[in-house]
Amino acid sequence: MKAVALIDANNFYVSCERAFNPRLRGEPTVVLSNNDGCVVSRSNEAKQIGIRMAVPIFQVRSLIERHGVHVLSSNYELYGDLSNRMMNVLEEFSPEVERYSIDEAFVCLEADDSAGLEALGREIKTRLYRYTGIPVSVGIGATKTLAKVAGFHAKTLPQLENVFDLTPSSLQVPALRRTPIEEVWGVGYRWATKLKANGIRTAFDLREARDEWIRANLNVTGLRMAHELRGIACHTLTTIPQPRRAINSTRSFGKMVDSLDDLKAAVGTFVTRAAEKLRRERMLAGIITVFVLTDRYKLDDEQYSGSLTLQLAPMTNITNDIQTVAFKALEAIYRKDLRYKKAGVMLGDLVPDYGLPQPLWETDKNEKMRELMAKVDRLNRRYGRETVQCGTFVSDGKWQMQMNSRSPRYTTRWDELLKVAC
Amino acid sequence: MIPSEVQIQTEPSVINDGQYSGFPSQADDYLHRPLDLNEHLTPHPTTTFFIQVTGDAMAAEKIFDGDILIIDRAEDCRDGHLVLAIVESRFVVRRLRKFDGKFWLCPAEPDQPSLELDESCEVWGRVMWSLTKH
Repeated sequence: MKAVALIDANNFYVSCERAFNPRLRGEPTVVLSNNDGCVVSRSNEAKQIGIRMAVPIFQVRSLIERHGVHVLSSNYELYGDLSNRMMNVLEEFSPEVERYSIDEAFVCLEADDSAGLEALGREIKTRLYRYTGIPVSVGIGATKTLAKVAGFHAKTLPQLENVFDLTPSSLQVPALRRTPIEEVWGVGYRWATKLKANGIRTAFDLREARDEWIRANLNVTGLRMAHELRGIACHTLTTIPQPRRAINSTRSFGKMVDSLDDLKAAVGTFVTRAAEKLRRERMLAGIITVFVLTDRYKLDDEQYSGSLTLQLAPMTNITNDIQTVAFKALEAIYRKDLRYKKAGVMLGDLVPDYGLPQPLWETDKNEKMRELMAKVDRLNRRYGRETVQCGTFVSDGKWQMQMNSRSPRYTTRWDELLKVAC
Repeated sequence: MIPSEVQIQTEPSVINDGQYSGFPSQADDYLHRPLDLNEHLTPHPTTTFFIQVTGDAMAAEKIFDGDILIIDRAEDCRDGHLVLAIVESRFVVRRLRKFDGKFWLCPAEPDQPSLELDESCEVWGRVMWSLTKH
C-alpha cells in the first residue's frame, strides 16, 4: 500500500544548534530571527517556561534571565546545510520527496501493510537522527492533509514517540476527533473562527460536514480539505520545484539608519543579492518594489512606511540596470528626519530568460553586460559572496545584520569548523 | 569575427574533448576524468562532517593539533574504530574497543581511564581520515 508521510523536524533551528553543541541539550534554548528581533525557534524547555513563538526578545528578558535561557542568533548557513542533508537522506527512502519548507517534507512511502509503513516511519526517524543529528516527527496518512493530522499527534502525544501511522481506519475517527479544527492543514485564524461558530470544532466535524454546506461557506478549497480528511487525495506531491513568482531580499538594520546614502547602500546590496538569485534561476524580472519602514516598537519615533513599484523595461536580470530603477524608487519614497529600521526589494513578474524574442534594440552593450554578470557570478561563487560588487555605494556596515551570538557555521566555512580538544 | 566553420587552435587542449588539431591521439580511448580527492575521502557527502583538533593528547594515535578529521556518520562503528563521541556534554575523540562483552571508549594515553559506553554517552560518528599538514 502507498501512503504520504510528513517528516517534520522538531524545533528545527534549536535542534541544529544542539547537533553541534551538546551542552544545549536539556537546557531551555531559543533562536532569534534575523537581527536578533524575535524568537523563531524554541526548545521544549523554553516552551514550558512560557516563551511564546514570535515574541520580540525584549518582551521576555526577565523570563530569560530568571531561567537561564540560552539565546542564539540565527545561523542560516548551518540550518540550510542540515536541511539539505535531511532531504538527501529522505531520498534514500523514496524517489518522491517534496521539500515543503526548510524543516518539512512530504514523502511517498510504499509498504505491504500499515505495520510496514509504521516500521518505515520509525526507520526514517532513526536514520535522520543518526546521520544528521536532527530529531523529527513522522506522520503517515492516505493524503497530505491526513499525514499532517498524524504529524500533529506524533509531535504532541509522548507515547507515540514521534511516529504516528494514521492509515488504519480504526484510528481515524478517534484521531480526527482529537484534532482541533485550527490544526487542520490550510485552516487559518479566520476560517477557524467561522467554523467554530458553526459547530465545527474538530477535524472529524469537518470530515462529516455536508458537501453543499462546505462549498457554500468555504468554497472549493474547503471542500478539498474535507475530501482529503476522508482519504481522497486532492493535493499531489510537488517533487519538481515550481518556478518562483517573486524574489525578495530584505533585512532589518543592525542600527537605525537615517541618511539616504546609507539606505542606498542597503538597497544596492539587496538588489545585488536578488539579481544574483534571478540569474541563478535563469529568470528576468519585469517589476521591482522597494520599501522602507521605521521601527514600530519605538513608540516615540514618528512612524512611516513607504513603498513604490516601478517597471523594468525591457525585462532584465542585470544588477546595474535594476539598481538604477531601485534608486529612483528609493529617492521617491525617502523622507528626511526619520529613523529607518528595515528596507527591502522585491523583484516580480518573473519570466524565463530563454526563448524570449530578443528586443530589436539589443546592442553590443547589453551583450557585454550579460557576459560581465556571468563573470561576476562565477567569481563570487568561487571566492565568496560580495567579492565583486556592482555599482557604487558607500557602506559603513551600519545597516548590516546584528547577530551578537551566532554559532560557528560548522559545515560551510573552513575557518569555523567544530573544534574538538584532544 | 571568425567564420564558425574555421577552427583555429594554437595548442593542444584536453579541455576541448581531448581533440588535437593535428594527429588523433592514441590515448583517446583511455581518457578518464582527473582524480577527484572528494571521491576518495568523502564517498557519502550527505553524512560527512569535518572537525578540527586542538591539542596533542591524541599524538599517540598520530592525530595532532590543527588536524582536520573527516567523520562519516553513516559508517558503522565497530571494535577498533576511531570515533567522535559525546561524553558529559563534550565532544571527544576515542578508540572504540570491545572487551568483557562491553564497548569502551579508550583514550590514546594509557594512563587515562577507559569509559564504558552506556546511556550517558553517545557515538557521534566514525573518524575515517585525519588530515595532517606537513
